[in-house]
Amino acid sequence: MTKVLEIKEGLRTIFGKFELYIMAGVKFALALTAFSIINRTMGYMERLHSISIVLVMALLCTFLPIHAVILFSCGLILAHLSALSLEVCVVASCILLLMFLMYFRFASDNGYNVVMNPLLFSLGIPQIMPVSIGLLKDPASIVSMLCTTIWFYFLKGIKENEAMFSATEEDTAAAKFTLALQQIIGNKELYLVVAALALTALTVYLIRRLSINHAWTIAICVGCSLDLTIMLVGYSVLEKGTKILGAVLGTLLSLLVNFGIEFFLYNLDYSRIERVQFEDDEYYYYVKAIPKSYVSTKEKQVKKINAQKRDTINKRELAEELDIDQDLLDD
Amino acid sequence: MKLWATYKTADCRGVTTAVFLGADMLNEEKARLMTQMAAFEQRKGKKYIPMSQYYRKDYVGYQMLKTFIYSTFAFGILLLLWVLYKVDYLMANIHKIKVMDFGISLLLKYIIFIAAYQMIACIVYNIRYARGQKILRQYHFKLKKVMKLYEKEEKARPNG
Repeated sequence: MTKVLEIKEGLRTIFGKFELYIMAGVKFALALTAFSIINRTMGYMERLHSISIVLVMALLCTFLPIHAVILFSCGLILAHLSALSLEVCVVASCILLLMFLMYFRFASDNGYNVVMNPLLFSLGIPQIMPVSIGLLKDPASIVSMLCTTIWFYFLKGIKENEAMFSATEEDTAAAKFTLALQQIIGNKELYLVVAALALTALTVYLIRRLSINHAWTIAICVGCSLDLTIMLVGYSVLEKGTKILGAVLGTLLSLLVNFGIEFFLYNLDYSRIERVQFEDDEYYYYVKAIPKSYVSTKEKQVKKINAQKRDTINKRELAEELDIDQDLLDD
Repeated sequence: MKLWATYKTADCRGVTTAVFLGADMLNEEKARLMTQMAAFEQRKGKKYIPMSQYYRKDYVGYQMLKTFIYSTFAFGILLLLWVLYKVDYLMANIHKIKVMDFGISLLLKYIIFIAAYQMIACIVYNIRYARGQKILRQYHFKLKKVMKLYEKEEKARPNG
């Protein structure tokens, strides 16, 4: 366990030293993955399939804030949708604008949530997100997760009905608008997933804020169990039994990832709890202090700046250094 | 004398400060406070320092005005989406729709939508202002401490 804690401290030190480069690398990886998945799953506009375009956009996103990834992803998606059907592109633009006007201007610090959630959905492991948000963020961030979930299911519905949307007859425009909006309005699986994610995130948030021992661990276990239960019941009711195995595997992975997050960010030693009481002019305090599990790193460099070198040393200083009587140094 | 100081926040993200020049004796406390303030200004300060220019009522009022404009646009977009969704029904029944009743119903929905959104904005920005003021109080406390340290140094400096 000590070794693991030492590795953790080592990783934190490395992250602290090279944060700029690591975050740039993370942004590049996220952007590249997002743009590649968009091109692979949508891909209606052939001109955007080029790897050089994807690489250039990902490189740009490396040097810009995370919101650039969101902007470029939305632009890419709208470009592909415009190649498929103008009606779908109009509906998609309206939905994006609505989400921005109603929510994202309140909560602009959820950039990474907005990028990660659709990626996790594409990879089939969305269960990680609600528990992580419950552990790390506040309830307002749940809304960003739900917005991106709605957006993902909208695009998924478009993909499943692309044959209908690519029809070019003039009298199908109204039907296309209705069908595009029905991917959100009439989609029961979307309602199930939204309910599951929202309840899970809220439950995890409420439990981890309790002042009980192992609050985070309990929150993770309860959150994952709740999520899995809702999904299993929901998929059984909707008769989508093929998705149950995916839900179970996703939940197991979510447990692993979130215990990892707890280990790195909230590792407490409950065997050394201290309870103290004290008062000041205004309040009487009852404090429960739980120390973090910490192991100091072995390497320590002490660097003296502007250490003054002296060629000579007087008798008094030499005597102090040797811890002897100054008289002994007299000739 | 030059010193590069690295300040680690609670999550171990390092922030490297600028060079401290000139003084023969480095005031460690001053360096520590200034580094903390620099880190704050680089991160959370960008959100909270502009807030300090407003009183609570002015700040919340200004944000609610912006929200009113944005939510009006959002209502327009929702209306457009509803029209697109019901376009077949509307085309078939347009001659049956009573314009006055439809207009009043739309206006009522608009008022309810705006009222709900204004309430949410009022709560969110009040909480944000209170949180910001608490954080800024700590920042101003550190600023005062640094100013006092500067005054001490000035007094302690020998003349000439």
